Amino acid sequence: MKFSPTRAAAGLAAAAAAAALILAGCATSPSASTTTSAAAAGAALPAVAACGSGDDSSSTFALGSYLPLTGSLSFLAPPAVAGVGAALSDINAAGGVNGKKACIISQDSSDGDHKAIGDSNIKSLMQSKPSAIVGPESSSVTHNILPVTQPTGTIVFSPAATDDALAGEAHFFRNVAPNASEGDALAKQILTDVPAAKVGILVFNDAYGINLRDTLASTLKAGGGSVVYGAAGQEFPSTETSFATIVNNVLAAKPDVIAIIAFDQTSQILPAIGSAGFAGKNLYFVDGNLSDYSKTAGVPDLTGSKGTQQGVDADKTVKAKLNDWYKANDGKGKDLGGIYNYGPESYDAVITLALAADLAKKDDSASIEPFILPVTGTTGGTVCKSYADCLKLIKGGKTDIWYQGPSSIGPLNAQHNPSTAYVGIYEGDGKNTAAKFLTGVKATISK
Amino acid sequence: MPVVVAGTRLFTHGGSYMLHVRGRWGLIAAAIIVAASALGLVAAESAVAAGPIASGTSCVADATTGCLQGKVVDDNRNPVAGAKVTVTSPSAATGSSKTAKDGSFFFAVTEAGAYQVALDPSSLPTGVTPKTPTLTVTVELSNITPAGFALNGHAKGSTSHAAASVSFWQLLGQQFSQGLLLGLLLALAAIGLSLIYGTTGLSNFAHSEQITLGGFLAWVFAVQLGLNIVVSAVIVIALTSLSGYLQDKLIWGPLRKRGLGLTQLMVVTIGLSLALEYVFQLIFGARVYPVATDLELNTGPLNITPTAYWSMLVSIVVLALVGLALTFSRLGRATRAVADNRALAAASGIDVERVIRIVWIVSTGLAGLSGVLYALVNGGVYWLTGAQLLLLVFAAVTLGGIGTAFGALVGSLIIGVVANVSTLFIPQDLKYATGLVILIVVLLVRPQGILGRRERVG
Repeated sequence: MKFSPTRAAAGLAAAAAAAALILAGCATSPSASTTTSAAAAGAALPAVAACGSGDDSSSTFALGSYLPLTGSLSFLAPPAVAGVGAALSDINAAGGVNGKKACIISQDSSDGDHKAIGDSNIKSLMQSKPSAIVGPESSSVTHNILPVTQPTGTIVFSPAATDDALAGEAHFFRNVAPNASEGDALAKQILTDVPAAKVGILVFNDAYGINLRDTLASTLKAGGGSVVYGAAGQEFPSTETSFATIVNNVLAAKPDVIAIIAFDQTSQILPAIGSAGFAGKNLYFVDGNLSDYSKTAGVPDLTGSKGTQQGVDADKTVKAKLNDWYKANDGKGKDLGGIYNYGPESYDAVITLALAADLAKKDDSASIEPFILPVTGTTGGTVCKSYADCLKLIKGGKTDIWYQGPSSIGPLNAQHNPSTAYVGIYEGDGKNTAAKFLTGVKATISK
Repeated sequence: MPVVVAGTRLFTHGGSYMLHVRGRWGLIAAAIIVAASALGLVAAESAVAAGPIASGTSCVADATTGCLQGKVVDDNRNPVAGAKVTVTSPSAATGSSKTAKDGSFFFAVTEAGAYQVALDPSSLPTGVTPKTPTLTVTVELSNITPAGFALNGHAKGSTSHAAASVSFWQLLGQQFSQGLLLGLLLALAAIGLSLIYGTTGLSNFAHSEQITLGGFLAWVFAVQLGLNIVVSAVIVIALTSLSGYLQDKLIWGPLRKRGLGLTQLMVVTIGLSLALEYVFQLIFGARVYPVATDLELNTGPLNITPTAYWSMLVSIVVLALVGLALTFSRLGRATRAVADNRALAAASGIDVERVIRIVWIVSTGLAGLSGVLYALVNGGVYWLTGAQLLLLVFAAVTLGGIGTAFGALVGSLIIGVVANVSTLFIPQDLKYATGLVILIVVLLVRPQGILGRRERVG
């Protein structure tokens, strides 16, 4: 999981193109799609073809995939790539969109620290005139690209960008609960475990981290808890590589529990916390770092630690489907390694967009957009649970369909947030922070 | 009994719950409507009591269930078992439960609204009293609601786990020792950078990637191939030195021969730095790669891990050896001669190209060692570890005096200590900026750096 030559190879085209762009400062060059290798194995469907030069939204459902194939969020790419890919395969198996096979244009979004890569790739993606874009996963990257996509009215549908501030952005949709819901659930779990908890927060200086910290802190305070470290001004830089100092500072504030809000920096924070002798069971994690640390250095026993994760804990058949698809296609024989984050959401984003295109009878963003909310159920309608079933209804003359997919969100609201969405709470065991599912909290998103 | 039915249904664990939800999630909206109307029906039928309240040892929230849960702990934060907790719903239904061994209680309720949660003082051990015996909380369905009690006092046998207080001076000491550690590791890289600058005039921005390379190679040998860390470190130094030799032979030497200006050369180093970063990312991805694997506790007067002590010792010994070699060995003197006046050194029979090549070999080897030790004490290495340190290394070299080896050591220690100690006074994410502020102040007063002219050795 830690070292993946295959994933590295999968990201080769994008990373090489990106490096070339940075070094040479040249104009955009088309980077090869990572989903063209269709080595179908077993029951998994082959990946759909990359869009050819003439395949754009004027004639074809050309889906732009803009996921973090490289960068600090790249560990979240495989399940989303699998979700997008499996959805497109299902769509084409059912006859495509508007009677024509859908195609994919894949570009690397990278992360917020590598804006140059994401910026040049989004421009390249926009030149291909996609029907809509699924991605990015990072909130920071979403903020970066919206000024590019909004003027053309291109739909950006994120399966994972959780920053509260993205609500209500034009032509932007998401089917994941915003941070406020997650921070709220995490605070309630902390207060359940430790009444009047004194909480130390290790948070990195990033839109995602600060936003989540703020909601965590406000629910904690409302419930009788307090934040003893990690208030505004006590964040660490997102490129930090040495954590003993900040761990000394947080422990000097004598917290009962420590909440870690970070991405893969957590691999370096955990040894520092462990060395200082702080008990692993008093640690709390968030969606950015809820993962298996069994191959990480010097990790304390995390049994009893807890963490939150947006999105539904997908059921076995959905997980197996994503896993098989990934193994047969982009994974080139490697499976998802137990990480399914935002896979069901990515799958549903694509299906929702395709159904909206079917209803619009056209493949461009401007035609698709008005049908997105109705497909998610805002106006009710006949419920259908797969692309094939929904397409049958549409072909049968129905115009009011309600697609209910594996992400099990409520209809999108006027701010294009899901009206209800799940946040899961997990308990750690050994070195895996997401070992046991405790409960799903259905968050109602008011705006 | 509806309560029992609800209890057995709601408190099933894990897998069965998931199947349960999966079984009908396609009908979620329908389920909510049905549930809501069912609730209304129940309330209408039994006018006095309403939604059932079930208790158990865990609770899973779903469309028709809210979890009212918490813990009872004494003032040492130890759990109080056997305490009686009673909850009253908005429609006056009640449920009660005794806290489990870990002090926890869980109620699964089917009615949203304001609940009273009361702790029975008579069920508490002697010496323990509630601060507030009754809480009022608002419960939502499909959600969890905490309602814990932190009590006054504690019973016999309840010992304090509170961490010992850390005084300001202790914390200062801890951060100072972290600063020394960082400073010594920076110095290993900084001396090389300084030597290269001293002998060739080149500001090598790709030096930071030698640090990253050292860290990654350490992972390859120590973790992937499972070699002893000392053996691995020696191999890594050899390989990074080799990379320095090859760089000078293939890139820097030929470019020098062609008489490329220093500015152009510097741009080449920046390009090389970026290219190497992305090559690392291509091979290793964006994850952190551990070099050590065991959990070590902080210990001793500096409150750092045993590995950190060893790393400091290794740094000090290596730095001392480099310093002695520069001062007393033939090659060291030749190096200083080249740094002072290249033309004169060449005229007096010193093979300048050979000296420069050796300087490259030693410098990259030292940076490699720095990468190994940095990855060891900081939980691992990732593709931007070196890039993160680059500015600090440059600041250290400039602060100490560009082109002086001992100056690089002094500058590194100052930057390391100031950056870490500053976190006591200023925001954490400005800590590296403090080193740069010091740099500006010192340069305003002493433009040649701290050890600039006085002791120009390399």
